[in-house]
Amino acid sequence: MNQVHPVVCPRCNQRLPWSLFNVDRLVPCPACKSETYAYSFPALIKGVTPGQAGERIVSAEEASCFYHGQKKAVVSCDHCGRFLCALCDVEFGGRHLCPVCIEMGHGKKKMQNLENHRVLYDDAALALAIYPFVFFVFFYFTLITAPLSLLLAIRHWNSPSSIIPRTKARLILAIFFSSAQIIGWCAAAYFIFSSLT
Amino acid sequence: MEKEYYRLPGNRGLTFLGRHSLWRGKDHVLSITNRGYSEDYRRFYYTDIQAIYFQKTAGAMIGNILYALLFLGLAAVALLGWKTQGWEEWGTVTVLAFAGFFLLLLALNIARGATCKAYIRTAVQIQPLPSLSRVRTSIKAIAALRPLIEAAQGTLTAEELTAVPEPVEVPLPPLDPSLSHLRKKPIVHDEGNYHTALFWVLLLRGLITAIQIPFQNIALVSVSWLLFLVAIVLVIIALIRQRNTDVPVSVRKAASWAFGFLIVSFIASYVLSIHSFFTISQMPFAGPDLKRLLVMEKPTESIPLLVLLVFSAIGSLLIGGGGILSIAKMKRDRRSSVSVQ
Repeated sequence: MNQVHPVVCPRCNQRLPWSLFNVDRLVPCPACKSETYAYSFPALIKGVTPGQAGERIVSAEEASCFYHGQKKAVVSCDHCGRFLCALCDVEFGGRHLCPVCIEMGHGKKKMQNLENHRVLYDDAALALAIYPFVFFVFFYFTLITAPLSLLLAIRHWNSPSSIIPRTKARLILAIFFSSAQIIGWCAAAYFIFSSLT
Repeated sequence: MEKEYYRLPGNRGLTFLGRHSLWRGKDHVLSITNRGYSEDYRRFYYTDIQAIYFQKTAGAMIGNILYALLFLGLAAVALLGWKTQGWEEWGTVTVLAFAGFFLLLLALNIARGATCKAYIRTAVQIQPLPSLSRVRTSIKAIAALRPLIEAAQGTLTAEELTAVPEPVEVPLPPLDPSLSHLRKKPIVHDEGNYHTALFWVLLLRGLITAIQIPFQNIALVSVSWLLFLVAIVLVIIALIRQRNTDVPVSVRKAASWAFGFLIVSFIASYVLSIHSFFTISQMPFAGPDLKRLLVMEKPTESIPLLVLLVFSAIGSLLIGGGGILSIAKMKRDRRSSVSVQ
């Protein structure tokens, strides 16, 4: 069994005894009496499984790894088909992939499970369309934010939004509000021009 | 078509970092932080999760007290204004509507139940889960995740867990930098000087307030307010300094009680001062006069002022006295432990 790291009470920093875990109710911390509910799983005591370095080729008939010519291939990459040794084999999302394919997938945003950040153009367009209008003192900024919002909504109509699927409602609302503001400004400009002439 | 992610119970916890939500996927839990125009994602694979735990906090209780005080304060102002100042109906109704709003918030806060702080732990991190901010929803979320995690890892029985030897000095896994306060810090010695000063100031203020009841004058009122401000500063310093020190629990609790009492006193004084302002502004003087505002109302003539002064005097004397006794016991215990060594 690997060495087990203690779980500490967030309030008093004292170690929580194992008897506190997996009891399905709030139990007071022995030190500070804060009511705690804790559930642990086998990974707590199993620890991290060490990685494999890969076996060396014994005979010339054995297939070798594409990246390590001296190591025996154990699996092929599910994306590019290259042979991989135990060291190069990365099991990810139920597939065996090589580090290069993972890096490419991350760089080109082809692997959703590797993405840790997304810009939400639909939220940004809607915010640009609504916030200056809602906070009335910033109303005059709509002269700039309305065209920006419209441009953003049209330009990123097909851009991926959140990882959690959502409709294009935000983009549609952004286009509607920004268009209304632009029409309003045009009408205001027309009336001002007419009254001047 | 089967969805990829299902939302877990929990509100969209709002912090300075953004709005948080928790989703369960096929092989991992997804934590999303929405900053308005972008999202950050963290995945916790079921095979990696070591523990999920949460601890009850006082957030709900503090919220209840705050909403209740605001409701009572506004309702009192509305009723006082209507009964003694002859406020028009629309004015009273408007203030009562605001009071009703806080009553609604109070009811919602009570209905949602106790608050908590939840964490998820893997071999390489301890991550807070801000969307799990209520005890009820946290229990539901853990109940939803447990079968999935146990399907990936197996179950950990109570016997297996208790068979694990309690670790003595084992390096903790790396913490999220925002959680550096969770790493066990060494306990430092604190003489409790700020706590001592705080309790003496409270005791003195209690005495002065008690004298103020029969002998109201501007000097006593000014000294009382000055001591109140000094007490506020001292209690904040004491509460900050007492973290990770050897100050006993009784002294810490007394400091916490002092803080709560000072806040309640402040709110009550504020409400009363609004009432006094209306009373004096109605009188035939040329505008509000601070001196008259401070001493015009005698405690013996004004029930609200008398109640406030009595509450303030008793509270200050009890908490100040109790705190001083706790400090004395702390010093006695320390002297006796030093002499034993």
